[in-house]
Amino acid sequence: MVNRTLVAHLFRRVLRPGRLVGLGALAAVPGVVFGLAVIGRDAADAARIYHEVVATLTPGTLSIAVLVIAAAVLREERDSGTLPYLYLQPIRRSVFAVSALVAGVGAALVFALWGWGAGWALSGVATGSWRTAVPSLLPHVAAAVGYGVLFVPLGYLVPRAVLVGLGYVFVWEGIVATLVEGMAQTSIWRIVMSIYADLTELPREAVEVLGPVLPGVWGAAAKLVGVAVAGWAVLWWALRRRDAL
Amino acid sequence: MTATVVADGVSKWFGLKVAVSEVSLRIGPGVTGLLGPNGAGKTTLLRVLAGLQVPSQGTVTILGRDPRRDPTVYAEVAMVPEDDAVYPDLSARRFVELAATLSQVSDPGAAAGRALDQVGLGDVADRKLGGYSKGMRQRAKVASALVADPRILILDEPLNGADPVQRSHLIGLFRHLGSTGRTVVVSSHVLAEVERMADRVVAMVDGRLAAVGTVASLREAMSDRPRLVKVGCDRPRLLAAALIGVDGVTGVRVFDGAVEVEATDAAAFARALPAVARERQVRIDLVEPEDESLESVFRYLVEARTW
Repeated sequence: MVNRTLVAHLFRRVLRPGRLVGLGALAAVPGVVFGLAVIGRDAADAARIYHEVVATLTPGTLSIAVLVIAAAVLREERDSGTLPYLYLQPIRRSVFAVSALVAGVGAALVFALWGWGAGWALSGVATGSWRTAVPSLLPHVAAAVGYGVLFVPLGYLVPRAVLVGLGYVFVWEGIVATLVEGMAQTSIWRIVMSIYADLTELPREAVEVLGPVLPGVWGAAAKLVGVAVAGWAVLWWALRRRDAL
Repeated sequence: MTATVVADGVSKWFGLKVAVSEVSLRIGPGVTGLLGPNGAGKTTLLRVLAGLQVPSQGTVTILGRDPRRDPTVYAEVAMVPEDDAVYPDLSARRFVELAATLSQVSDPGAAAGRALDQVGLGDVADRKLGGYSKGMRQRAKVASALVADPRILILDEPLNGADPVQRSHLIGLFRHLGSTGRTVVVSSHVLAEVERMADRVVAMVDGRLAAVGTVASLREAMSDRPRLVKVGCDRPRLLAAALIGVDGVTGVRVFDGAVEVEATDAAAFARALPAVARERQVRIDLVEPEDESLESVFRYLVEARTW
């Protein structure tokens, strides 16, 4: 199902040092903001602020970090003219598509775990409890998977994928899915937050972000599997039917 | 000839621009040169043949299989793209090993070593590709294509950037591969280069096939083409008047210090010119063909359809 050489190659290539530093800093922003916000607050306040930061600030930073990294997995190969070295190999397109998605999600996980780790460490120090941030681990992982499987095919298909992806994050998720109730189900972040809401007691402001999306780990997992299958199918189709240059 | 690469009515267009128009050809073992001026559609045709681009119309088969639908055919097909694109932070050895591993070669390290030796990069294989000259990068790309020992090699301008010694080495390598039963398709816009490599030539201009045949038949067709020749001399009017009567000369124009001659038989004109000049006591200081570009040659072939 996966070509390990291809995954390793794409993973290494996309995680170059400059990108690691830049996107690592971006992914750590919620943790830093939380650290600054809890100075002088008590443990209960700190826990509430942590949940608020994860619910409101993390979508704007983690989604962008994942967008940049996942969209680059195949786009960079196309733009630099090196895709033929991978494409003209005896690898079934279905396997090629899975491998690219795995590389993209794997690279996204680096930033998701780093961002979560920064928040976890600071929340532990601020609240004195190392368990406050634990429920947010799964949502961070889910965000890496959900956005990753969406943005890898986008990067392959669209030359200005980051711009289009920003449109999805800010216009679609931020505005359309907020104003039009039915569209909330198309928001990756709301799916991710529904996991968080199921695992912990969130403040009212954070729950309001969900809109009509019901909290539930398994429901969200099923939706993410659907998104992953759709992302794989689109990429498989594109690899078979579209020019590879 | 057993055709290993077959294009049937292949066209490729990008919006309103037609890059390749209704090309049908069958290519078999040996070296086939794809010749044409820049912008003729050679690169697009090779990309379509290799399966990198989808034909807008028509079909392509390699070893009887459609590469777009059956990528397992790439175990026996390799391509050297025209773009000067490599992974600059990889060494040549890692680059070729990557191709070997992806091609499921049994011992990628050993195969990479052999391929790098074949192109003369064995001694510098551990240097990063980013520090290579263009000619060395070209050879690394060729090594990456050779590493899985493919039956079919598609090479898009593989001699670009190579110095004369490297060119000679690569030409010898391609000829050797052709002589061992592999199908080698090499594109170039330099006729002399293709002549040294290929037994058979496919000539393209403006996205269409201009000619298919041997290099000798292409030369023959070109020899019938009217040529424009500029002759610099001290008495152009006198020379022009004398040349009008020469066999094969169909037109003469007089300029300041030169005569432009249109000749249907360039060889006969070349033989007659010294005698005419001597007879009329005209001193010649320049004889220069005016329209020797490959594009003008191919346009003539397309219009004349003499093949």
